[in-house]
Amino acid sequence: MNDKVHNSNGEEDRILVERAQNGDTRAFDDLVRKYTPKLYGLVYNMTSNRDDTADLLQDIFAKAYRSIRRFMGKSSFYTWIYSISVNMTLNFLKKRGRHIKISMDDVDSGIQNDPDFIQVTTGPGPLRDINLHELQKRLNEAMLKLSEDHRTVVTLYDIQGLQHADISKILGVSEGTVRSRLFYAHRQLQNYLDDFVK
Amino acid sequence: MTEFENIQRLVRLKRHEMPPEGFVEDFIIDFHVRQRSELLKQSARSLFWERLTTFFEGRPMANMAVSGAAVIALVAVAALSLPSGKPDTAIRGVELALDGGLLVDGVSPFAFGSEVTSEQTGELSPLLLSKHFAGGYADEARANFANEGSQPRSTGAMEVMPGLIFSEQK
Repeated sequence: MNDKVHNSNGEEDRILVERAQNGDTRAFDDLVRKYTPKLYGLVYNMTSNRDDTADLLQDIFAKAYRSIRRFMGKSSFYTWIYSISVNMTLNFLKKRGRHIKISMDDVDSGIQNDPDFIQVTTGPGPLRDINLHELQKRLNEAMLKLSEDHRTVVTLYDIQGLQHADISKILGVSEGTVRSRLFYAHRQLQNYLDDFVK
Repeated sequence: MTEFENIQRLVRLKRHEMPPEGFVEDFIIDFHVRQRSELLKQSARSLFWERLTTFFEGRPMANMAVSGAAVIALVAVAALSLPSGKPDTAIRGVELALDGGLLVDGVSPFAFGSEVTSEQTGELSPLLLSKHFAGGYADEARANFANEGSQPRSTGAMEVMPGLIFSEQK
């Protein structure tokens, strides 16, 4: 089922890419429309800043537009655009250095019905009566304490739900490296969020 | 449930952080505005440079080096093969041969495409087997010798021109 969805998405992307390569700007707009929410999540969770996210996304799609004719279809468009996004975001983070200013997005109302949220806020743990805003702030701070490589794999795997194999293609590293980075990232997050998960 | 799973549950909650409503459509409008303004701002040179760097981006350095060498080689070949435009310029090979002393002293090389003067043919005639320049051929020369009463030598060799002896093939 999952494969079928993946394949039909791939086919849809292939058609849009082909049209965009032939100069159909509307087809490229459709790709932007489709991938903006996903890439927004990726960039936002790596930068923790809304303005930086919007600016970076503009740069990412501008670069993709300039390079679309060179996209040969050896990988899926999804992997290609994610690779561009990760590389550009990592470059941006290196330039930004330690001048980090957190500006958080709104949390959608769906979180109230999320089984994970219900579990952590209604259980006997320390999160029982936590303020939603406080939880969001702590999570963003914890993410920013991770190294950029570790933050990337946590974003792609835990938040965006990508598979190890896809992450390895996007980052150009082995699956073993992805698993190893995830392990160390989780261990660090455990230390930073110690009082939440006890 | 392990502590790692608890951490994952917590971190997964971040997926509920969303951009403001209408963000995507506004984003596309901004994207179009940016594209248009970039086109107006960029000079032809910067556009060319950007396209060039985009083209080479992601290609291994080896490929780039080979491409660069190929471009240099092509330019060099094109520069060498273009005629310089001087009417009295002899073929480069002839000039080199002359520099190396391959031609006989005192015999000037012909300009490519220029007419051979009788003076020049006079200088060269003792050295040439063929007499194309005079409208004749080596065989005719042999026939002329025969007509003049000079018989080929019985040693199996024939002197076609003074100083040049060729073996007869039987």
